[in-house]
Amino acid sequence: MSSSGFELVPGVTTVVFGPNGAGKTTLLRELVSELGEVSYLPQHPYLFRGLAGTNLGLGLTDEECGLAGQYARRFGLGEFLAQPARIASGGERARLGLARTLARSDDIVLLDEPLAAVDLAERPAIAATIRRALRGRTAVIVTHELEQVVALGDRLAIMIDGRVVQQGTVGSVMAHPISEAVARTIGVTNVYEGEVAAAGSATVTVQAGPVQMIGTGDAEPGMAVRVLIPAETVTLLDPERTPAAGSSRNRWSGVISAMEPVGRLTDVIVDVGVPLRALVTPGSVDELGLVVGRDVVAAVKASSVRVVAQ
Amino acid sequence: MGLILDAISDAFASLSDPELIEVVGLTLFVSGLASFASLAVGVPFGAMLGLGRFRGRRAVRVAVDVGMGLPPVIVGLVLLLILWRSGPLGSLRLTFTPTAMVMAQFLLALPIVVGLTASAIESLPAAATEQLDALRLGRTERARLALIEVWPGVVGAAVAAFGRVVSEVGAVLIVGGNISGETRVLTTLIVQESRQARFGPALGAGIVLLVISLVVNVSLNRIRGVR
Repeated sequence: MSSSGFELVPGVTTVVFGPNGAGKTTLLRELVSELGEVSYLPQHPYLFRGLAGTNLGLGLTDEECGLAGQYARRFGLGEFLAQPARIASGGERARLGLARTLARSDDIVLLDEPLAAVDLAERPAIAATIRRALRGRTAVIVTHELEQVVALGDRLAIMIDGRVVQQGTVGSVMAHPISEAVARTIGVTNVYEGEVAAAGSATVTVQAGPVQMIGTGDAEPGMAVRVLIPAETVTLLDPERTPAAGSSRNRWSGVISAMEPVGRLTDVIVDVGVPLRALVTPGSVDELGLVVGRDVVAAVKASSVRVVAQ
Repeated sequence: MGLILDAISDAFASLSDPELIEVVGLTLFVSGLASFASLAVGVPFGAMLGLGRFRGRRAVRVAVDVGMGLPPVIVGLVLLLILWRSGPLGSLRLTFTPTAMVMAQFLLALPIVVGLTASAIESLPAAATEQLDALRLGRTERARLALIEVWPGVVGAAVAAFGRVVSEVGAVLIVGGNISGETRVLTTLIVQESRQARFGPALGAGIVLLVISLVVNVSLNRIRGVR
């Protein structure tokens, strides 16, 4: 437990999420000085004069060095290692720092915005490597991007104004923000775990429990994934007046199991086989006559459904 | 006008004087050795000071900064007292020897090397020091990395140290005594000759001193990439 209320849970990866200036980096630095022997990746990894390859091995044992080399090659740094570190781009610096930090055999790993400087196209593969490297270890990753929370975290801690205001498993925190402040920070997002059933050129079909979901993202059939559906992208329709066609690829019938106000909106929980949260305006509540127990159809466009590899 | 023109023409004539060449040799030996010694001791110490988080660091830093501006005559006087026949190190019989001059200039150069090295390291970006911490290196390896990172600043310290000692006159005059053929260097030669109104040779020695400063400065600055 740190002064900000953060709880370090052994053996899992906790992602600390919050807006810029929330105190995430400060929290990580506190953990570094409290815990001592940790692998720590600062937000801006610094490369010293000399070859990139020399930088990669700094502070590592021979065994760790070999592992760092493997990570570096996997991160596309093979040729860069023979170059002077000075000419590194921001992305190369970030990947080299990450390879070195992951290779250290310390029990605790702390990463500050590991993917912020990495090209969007390279992020999923690097995120998958991070996930594998951290499996079973105690890790804390700071990020201000929701997508990385889903890609990297087992647990999620929401930080606002220097305090951890909510922490728990990624799915529970994202689907159940405890306060309006948290909801404003992360939004209300449905998170499901599933397996890719089919992958087309533009869309990915995921089986999440009894429900099939169509979304977008980089994933191969058989892969374990998380599916993100922001609650404000879910449209609720009257089953008797639902048009036969429409641009929403996802249509699920269900029953409203709960309703609660979130700020000026209403959070409607529909049981479609899995609980699905929809944020609707008071006007829609009245017009559709939404009450607990009513049958509805929930529709979501495939482009609003993010499929993130685990 | 005649006085100055005569002095200039005498100055150039004096450049081939064997005594001047001997003096130049001793100047380079004393100031060069003092600078090297101050670098050998001062660079590691400056690195520790720049990186260190030990108790009393601020006090040491202030002492070093004061030392950078130490008047050479005071250094010379204190060292003379220490080396004097009846002083603490009198038995070494070092007064009025080139060794005493090297010691005096070493003491003058040391705070400069320590101070400028520490400043260079303190000017490392915050990301670099955070990275050094994150790497959890041993003290020596940490200092080595930091020094390589700021090496142009260390060369700058060498330039400043050599410039300081080669041009000072007070300390070498007091502990060396300006003995012809034994402890006379360019600056004390200039003092000697001007006192006797032999402006030509004084000016000649001055020209050589300027050329030495220029050559050392330009070549060291070239090494660190300053043009």
